[in-house]
Amino acid sequence: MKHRSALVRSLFTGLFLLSLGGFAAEDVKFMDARIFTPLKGSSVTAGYVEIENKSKSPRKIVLSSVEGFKAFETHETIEDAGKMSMKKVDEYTIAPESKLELKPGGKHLMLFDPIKKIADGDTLLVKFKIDGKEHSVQFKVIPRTETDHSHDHH
Amino acid sequence: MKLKRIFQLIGLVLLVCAGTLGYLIWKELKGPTMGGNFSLTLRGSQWTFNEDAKKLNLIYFGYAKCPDVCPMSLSYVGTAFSKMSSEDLKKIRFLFVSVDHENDDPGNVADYATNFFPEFLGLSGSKKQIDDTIKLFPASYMVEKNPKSYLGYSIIHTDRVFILNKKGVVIDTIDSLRDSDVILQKIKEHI
Ligand SMILES: [Cu+2]
Repeated sequence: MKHRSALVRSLFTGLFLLSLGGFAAEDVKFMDARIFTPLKGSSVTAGYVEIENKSKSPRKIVLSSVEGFKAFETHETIEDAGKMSMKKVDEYTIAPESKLELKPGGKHLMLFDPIKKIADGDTLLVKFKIDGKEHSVQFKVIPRTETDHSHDHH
Repeated sequence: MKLKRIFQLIGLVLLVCAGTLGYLIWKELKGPTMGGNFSLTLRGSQWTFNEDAKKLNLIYFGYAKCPDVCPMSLSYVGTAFSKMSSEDLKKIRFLFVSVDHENDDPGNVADYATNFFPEFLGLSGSKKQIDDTIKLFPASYMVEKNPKSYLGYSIIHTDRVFILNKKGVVIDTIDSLRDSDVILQKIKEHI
């Protein structure tokens, strides 16, 4: 009897944790996911996205893979008195019930050395880990020149 | 007589002093003149500013492996150029100078600049040429090693456009490169 209740309890705990895990990915939304088509003369480009955390707890987001590039990193551009510098960060943290916008001149996914032809209109699969749980997002490849006026939302 | 000569001399000295003082005050108020002539490399051949200067010349320092800031700033400048009349385009030139002499080759830099507007010139050069050029302007760069990053480095650099006259003298600066209409307005003030 004692054994059985312990089994049931662990089963329920497992199910509960699983549902929590499922919940964690659902309450983080990715919008406007885009990668700029690599420019001739350069081997690097950048990806941007708006991430919304609808949950009541902070979420840690780690970039785990980007289709079509040899290497990828999460970066942040910092401006100081007209000078721009860029640093690599291990993860982004989004506060509860708030949005994090990756945008030109700020936080960005930095993508190095395309390993296949990447053209306007392509979609590339990007994988993140949200608090350890994998989440895939389709990024649209768009030309750089289209974003002259700050990206409007559809 | 002798006394008259002495007074004349004193007067002359005073005049020279006043003139010098006036010039120094004027210079101080005006601020130092920035800019000048410089030589860089365009697709492997030497390119010298005063041999190819236009009425208005815009210059920006960056690097081709800059993924975020440079392409953003350059695309706004490119859009401003695309809004100009062909008449005005004849009087103006944009120079993109790569400060990454170790990793950018002249061909890459020249190709890179044309992404944003077909007539943009992408210049590179030796470390000495680049340093001699950038020190003419209120701009700087610093290579920062970053072994944790795939690229291994990034370059901290000024994100500004300097407007030069035909002699290479800085006549204005565009601090904010986030609006093509603001850039166009600045250009139109001088063209
Ligand atoms: Cu970066």
